[in-house]
Amino acid sequence: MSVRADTLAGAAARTPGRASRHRREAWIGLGLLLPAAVLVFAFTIFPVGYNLWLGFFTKHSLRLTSTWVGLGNYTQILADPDFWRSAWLATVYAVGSTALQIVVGVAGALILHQRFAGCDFLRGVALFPYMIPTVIAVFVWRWLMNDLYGVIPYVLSTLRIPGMPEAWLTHTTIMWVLIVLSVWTFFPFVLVNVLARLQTIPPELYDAARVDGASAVRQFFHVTLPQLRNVLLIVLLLRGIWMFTKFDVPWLLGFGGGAGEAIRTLPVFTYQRSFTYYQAGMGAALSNVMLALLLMAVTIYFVAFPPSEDETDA
Amino acid sequence: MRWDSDADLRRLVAERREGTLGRREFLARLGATAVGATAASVVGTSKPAGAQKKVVVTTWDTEPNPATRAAMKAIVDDFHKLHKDIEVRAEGMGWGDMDRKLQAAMAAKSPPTASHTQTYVVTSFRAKGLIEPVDDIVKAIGEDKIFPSVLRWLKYPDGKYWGITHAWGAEILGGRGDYAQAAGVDPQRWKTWDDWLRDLPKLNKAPQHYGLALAGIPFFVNEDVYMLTGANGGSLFDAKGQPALESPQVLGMLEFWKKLKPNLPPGWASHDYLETLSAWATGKTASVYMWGRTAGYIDQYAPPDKRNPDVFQVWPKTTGPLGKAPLTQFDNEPWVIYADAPADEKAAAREFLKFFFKPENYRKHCDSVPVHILSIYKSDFQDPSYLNHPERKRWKPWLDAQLKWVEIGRAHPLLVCNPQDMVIPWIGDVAATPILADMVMAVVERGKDPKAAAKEASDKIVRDIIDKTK
Repeated sequence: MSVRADTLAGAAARTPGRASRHRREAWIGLGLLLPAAVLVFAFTIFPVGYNLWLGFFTKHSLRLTSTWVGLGNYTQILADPDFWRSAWLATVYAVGSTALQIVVGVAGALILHQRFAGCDFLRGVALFPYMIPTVIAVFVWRWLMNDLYGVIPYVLSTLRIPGMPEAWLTHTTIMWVLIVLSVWTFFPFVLVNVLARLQTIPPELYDAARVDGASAVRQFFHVTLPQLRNVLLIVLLLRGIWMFTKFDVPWLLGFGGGAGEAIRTLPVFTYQRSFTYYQAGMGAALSNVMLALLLMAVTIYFVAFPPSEDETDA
Repeated sequence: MRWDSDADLRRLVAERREGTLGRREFLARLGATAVGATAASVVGTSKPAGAQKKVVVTTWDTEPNPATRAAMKAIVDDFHKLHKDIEVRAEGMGWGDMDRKLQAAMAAKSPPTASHTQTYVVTSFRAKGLIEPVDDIVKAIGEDKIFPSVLRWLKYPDGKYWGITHAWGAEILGGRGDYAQAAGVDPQRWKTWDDWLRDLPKLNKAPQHYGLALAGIPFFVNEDVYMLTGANGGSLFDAKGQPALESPQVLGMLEFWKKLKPNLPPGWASHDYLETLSAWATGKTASVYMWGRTAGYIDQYAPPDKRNPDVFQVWPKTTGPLGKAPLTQFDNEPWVIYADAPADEKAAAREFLKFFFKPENYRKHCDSVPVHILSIYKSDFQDPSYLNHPERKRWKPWLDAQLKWVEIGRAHPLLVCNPQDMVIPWIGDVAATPILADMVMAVVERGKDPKAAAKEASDKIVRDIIDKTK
């Protein structure tokens, strides 16, 4: 116990009224924390713990009974080619859509960082795709890309480009549609974050670069990009995690079957195990595997890209 | 209620304002007062001892369209007039929503009192002890008044009825008469798959319109898989309920599907069922598998001069080389009563369903979608007041075609190629998965050998469904 604690304890002993007041305040403090603690336990700790526990059972979703299988679900998962295929599809989707979101988001932010007529309006408009409910965005894209009525296939067909697909929501092309749709929907998140950081870069850095004769390209690579490093690392991490675990967009676009089997990513595969195969235990185990894969990826990410300690980069 | 209408709160706030009460003590007493007020309000709103408690019956049905909701409300209102001690809460929702909602409710042992479902789901639920027999309702309606072909699918080997159909329908092959005429094709002469395959390319004028529209979403692929397999003389299951996907009949069905593909829209694998109906109504396809509900799409999308059965015709379904007769899907959606519902609710639900099926009430239900929600009463199909409904008159060939399927006994519930398939306990579980659809896509879209795809699907059914059901 520290000297300060001893002193406090001694003082409390000398003044019993103060000690009881401290105890009362401690109880009030605990009481005030209790609702939050109960909520965190009920909605985070318990579900995660229960999911880990459930992963060791076979359990039909419609029945209360379950059977202990130990690591049986996990061995089946690792031996299942469908699991590896969905993990691969989830990776392709996450990497492809995140990379393009970063490119489009940074490009958009660089444009909107400039002052020109209507730039404030455009900054607002750029957020629209992110504000539209996912189900609406996906259904609009389904209509736009429909091979019988869609505007986009029609316009593309009029261009008569050799090798252009007749339909886009097919096994061979639906992943591209999913990625483009996701980039359109989610790039504003990148744009807003990058734009906010761009507006805090000290202009003196650019002045100094110009004095040294740096071209615009060199200014981008040697001033802007290093200054964006930390925000890009966070955005990359968050968007990567969110795209890897994204369920609603691939589900609504492909409904998990038909051409949709070509975008049956890991979250969709997990959902189907739980809610169409009625395998609650297997679904739980798959969720746990997905969590483990993400933890591994995040760990590797932080080892490869440690956060910069330079305060000015923050 | 305003806060200052409470004397305790007024006094508390006054003391705080005067400074005689510290902030912490004020907050603590405020919390205590709030808890006390909540408890008092709960006690205050509870019913006095001896007051009559209403039994609440919750029903979920799959007809969310406004006309059926209005009909259901009228039936429920009339029921309430006779049964003041029962409150029926009738909710309508789409199939997809119902499936998920029901699943969550069943897992939580908190199902509705009664709901619509599919015939094959009755088999699954019965095997799991999740529903109760409804013999008393069938008896109250009068067993002899109902189409035998409607009743047969819900009477199980134990001799009990485990569901009672709210309406029936048979899937028909709809075809554009104007396109057939322009192509010089007479579909009424089709008997076999070869006949169909011979003429489909003539009806396929891509990209203006395609020969046939099929849905690629798994549930609807399942429909086509078992209908075509049945038409080819086979079944998806053997006598022991094990998958029979490597049979010549199923492999023949897969080969046939490959031959159909050039006549389908290029994006068929992503089309859902409703897209195929609108494609037919708008003239983007010459033919489609459809139900009576399609009449609504035709009225909505087709040119006014074409909204008639001369243009939107019924074409014959055909037989595969190994089969003796075509097979179609029987939509036999039954009401079921859930075993886990409280006893008084179940009893009240039975009363409500007996009331629902009284002819004067039931007619309102049928008339809400006249060509799709078909009556289970045999006599209605002799009754001019039923048949002379303007919509039923207009689409009479569609009604006749459905009735014919029922009369010849070749309309079977989903995945039931042979009547004995009905009692396979995992049939509903197979229908819920994308296994069969994946098999078709592997062959038709990814060029996989049918035998290898069928074996893979069989293994999945055994590993992921049958073994897990044991």
